[in-house]
Amino acid sequence: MVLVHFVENLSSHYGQSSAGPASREHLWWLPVGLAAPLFTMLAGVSYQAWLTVQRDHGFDDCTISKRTVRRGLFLIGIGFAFNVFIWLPEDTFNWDVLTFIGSALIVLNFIRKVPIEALVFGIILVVVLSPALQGISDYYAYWMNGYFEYDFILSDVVLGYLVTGYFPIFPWIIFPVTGFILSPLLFSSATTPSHGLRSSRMLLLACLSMGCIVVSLLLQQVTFLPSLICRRTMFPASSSYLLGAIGVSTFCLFVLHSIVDQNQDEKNRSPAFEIFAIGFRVVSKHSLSIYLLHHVIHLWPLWLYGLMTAGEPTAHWQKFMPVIFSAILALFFCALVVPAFLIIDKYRVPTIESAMRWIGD
Amino acid sequence: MSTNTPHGSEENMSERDADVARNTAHGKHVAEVRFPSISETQVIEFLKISTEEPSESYLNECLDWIKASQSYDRPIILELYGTLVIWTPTQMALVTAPRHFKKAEHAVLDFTTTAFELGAIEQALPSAWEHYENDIPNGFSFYNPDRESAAALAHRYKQAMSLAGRLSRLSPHIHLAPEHPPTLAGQLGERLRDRSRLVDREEFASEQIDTIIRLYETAGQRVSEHGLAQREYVLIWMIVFLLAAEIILLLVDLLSTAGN
Repeated sequence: MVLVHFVENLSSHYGQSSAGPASREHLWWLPVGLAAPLFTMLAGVSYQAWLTVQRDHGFDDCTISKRTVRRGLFLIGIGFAFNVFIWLPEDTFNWDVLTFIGSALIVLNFIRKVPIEALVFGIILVVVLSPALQGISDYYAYWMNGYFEYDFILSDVVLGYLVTGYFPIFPWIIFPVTGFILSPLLFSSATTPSHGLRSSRMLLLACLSMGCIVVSLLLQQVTFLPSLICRRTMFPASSSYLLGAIGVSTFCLFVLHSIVDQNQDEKNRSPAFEIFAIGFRVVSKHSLSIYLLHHVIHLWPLWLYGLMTAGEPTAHWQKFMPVIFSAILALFFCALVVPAFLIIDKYRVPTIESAMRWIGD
Repeated sequence: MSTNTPHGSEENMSERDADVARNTAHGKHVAEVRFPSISETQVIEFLKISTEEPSESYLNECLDWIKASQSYDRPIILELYGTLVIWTPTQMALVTAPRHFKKAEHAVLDFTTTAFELGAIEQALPSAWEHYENDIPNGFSFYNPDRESAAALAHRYKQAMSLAGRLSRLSPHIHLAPEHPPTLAGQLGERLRDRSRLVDREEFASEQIDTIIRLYETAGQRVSEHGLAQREYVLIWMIVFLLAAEIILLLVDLLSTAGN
């Protein structure tokens, strides 16, 4: 995520893609299109885990709903503030990932008691419906220059939220819902400790992720289908992209859970693994703060420099420095962020996560 | 010492007869009796004394034999028409004249099989009661709607029904009508059943099993109702999603038209 954003905002000079006006040719080593699905799927996974904790603490449904809605509204509010202060006021309604995750939390609150079969049906329905919605709403008309442009009118704002924005409800809602469904399979509860059951669940997850990846690759070969289905594009999120992203995100989640979470035996851990685990823990705990901070760190100086040199904040956007420098800056940020947040934890400095808990709980 | 394996079922009688005949010799003889249909491990020592002498003279000897093997059960002692039977759940002794021996041995073994089968049912009951209290709420409404709980309830229902089936099959052996004219074997069986209170025990076990079955029958009904309701619930949500999809399609169409 950090690498992609640094490179895209400071030095992106990709050419137009044959996939459509909204897409760009990406550098082969840049993991574009991976972070957002994983991030949103993790929102569903962690919501399920959070629900379990709330129920274990004896909170009733009404309290859980209130807390969820408060957290969702907080994220939507932070999302709008982020749009205004980071992407500048003209992008207030670009429907970035924070407003989406906030909305997703509220949606998850409504559907948390819906049977899994119905949720799976809903996911399939969204996947099938989304290309049609993108077609009806003339998606590409909003993405003529490779980014989302809209007029300040109700229809454009609502359409952006539903279909045409950066992370619209259709089809992105499938990621948190998928995470919500998969979470019990991944994190077995105390009532299902049997090793055989765990193994069969892990096998199911592995089959699901591999199956999605294979179907995604197959869809990309069926070129006679509309491009909204068969071409692997993140904007718009095509059907093949959605399936591939679900497969890869599930696989990443499964692998990281197996390697990091289940390696609980602290005595047998190597020092390198210990550092690795601390890094994961810090990043996991402060992912929202890191998301906000890395934007502030690379975009505010860029806007300021543009304002000073050209009178227009976005004058140097995507053409400020060579790719190699922006990539090094991103890695430098990643190296510094872990010790920085360890210090923040040590001195108990309030973060955006603690603010969310204070307001939400 | 030889091994004898009695069976309760009619079809195994001829095999058992052969075994008994083979192992019954005149004089004193200790046999091991097994009940593979009830328990693989349970073995009873069977002291068989076939003699023309009065059976009373063997009473002390038989009691000493039972005490010597540290059997803590209070023995049932029967003396009938010159036949002596001492019975405990781990040991038994039969002293009778050679001409009565085969039939008396049959009667004792038949009773033992019945008593052991009933004992096995009685031993299985406490484990059924263990879950009873916890499962009572499921008789009213299915509280744990997961497959594991439903499978556990089904398993307990099967166990209770199996016990009831075993008890039903055993019942004719417990409530055997007295033979007419009376025979030594018939009298031995009848008195052994009477002394070990098989009829009462069968009645108590039957009442307990009935109570347990009643719970699991209603619980099964609740599970089934829950399954049906769950299917309906899934269907309702699917319809809701389809309607929502239709509304979204219409809304997006409307908005895009309004935008243009």
